[in-house]
Amino acid sequence: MENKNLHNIKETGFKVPQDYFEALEDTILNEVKLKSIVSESGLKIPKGYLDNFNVSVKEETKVISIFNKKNIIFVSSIAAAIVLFFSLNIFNTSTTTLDDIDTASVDDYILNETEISELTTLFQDSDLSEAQFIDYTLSDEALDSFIEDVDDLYSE
Amino acid sequence: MVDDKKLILKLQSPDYKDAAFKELVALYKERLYWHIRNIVKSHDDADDVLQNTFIKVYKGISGFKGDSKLYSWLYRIATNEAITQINKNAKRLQITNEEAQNIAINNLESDVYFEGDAIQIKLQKAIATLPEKQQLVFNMKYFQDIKYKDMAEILETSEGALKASYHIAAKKIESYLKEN
Repeated sequence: MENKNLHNIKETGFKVPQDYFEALEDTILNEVKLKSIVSESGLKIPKGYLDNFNVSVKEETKVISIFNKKNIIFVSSIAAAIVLFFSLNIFNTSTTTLDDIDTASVDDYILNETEISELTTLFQDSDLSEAQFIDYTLSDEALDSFIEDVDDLYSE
Repeated sequence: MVDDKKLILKLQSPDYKDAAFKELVALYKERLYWHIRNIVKSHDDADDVLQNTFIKVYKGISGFKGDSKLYSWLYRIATNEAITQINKNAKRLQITNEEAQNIAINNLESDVYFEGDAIQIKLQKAIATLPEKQQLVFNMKYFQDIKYKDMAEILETSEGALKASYHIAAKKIESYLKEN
């Protein structure tokens, strides 16, 4: 009992292509004949060429693909920043003047959005000359309506 | 051997050389193929080595003096050619012979000309751990059952050294199979 485990493996497991050994004599003889006729290619090299053979390897330029994940994220970030930059309208320096706003909007703003105290800060004493009130003519109906409104306001 | 002598004479005669060569190939092709295959592992390498072996035989037969048996002369050429093939593979891949052999064994699993199972792959791996001479001795004795006397002529070593070598190789393989 030489080797308990080893002696169970008597085959290598190697196999050959089907019919490999068939006509191998002719195949090999043909090969031999061919090599005996033309064993050398006839190509020659200069004397000592391989002894002094040297290659200077230049550093190869690294090729970087522009379509890698990192670049796509980078370019997308720049594009998003540019779009955001212009959409915020930073360069639009034109200011809106009072003349650009229609009277109804100003009335609406004063009535709904401001307090009397805020309103008074907008006027200087010099702006409130009597002449302005004298020149300004109100119709009787408008005046009546205003007085009624003021009465209503104080009666509440 | 009388038959060997006749064959050698025919091989050395220009008139009968080709016919005698075919006879020689027919006689030894399978034995030499399996001897080579056990060394190089892949069929393609074995095929190349077998062809190179016979080409060398054809070219060298005219100078064969008959100092050794034809059989051992053929095996010696085949062995040298197989080792040369392993060296060439290793040089091409810029690795050691041992690494080249390990690659050849790892490739067996996907080799269409290998039908062994896990234990046979393991045996090949175990053989690859041996020194080159022990591998040769083990393969020739274990798989081909070549007599120590003939092996001594092929490898030009004493029978006693070969027996010791085989014994050590078998012990190493046995312990490798148990451990792995």
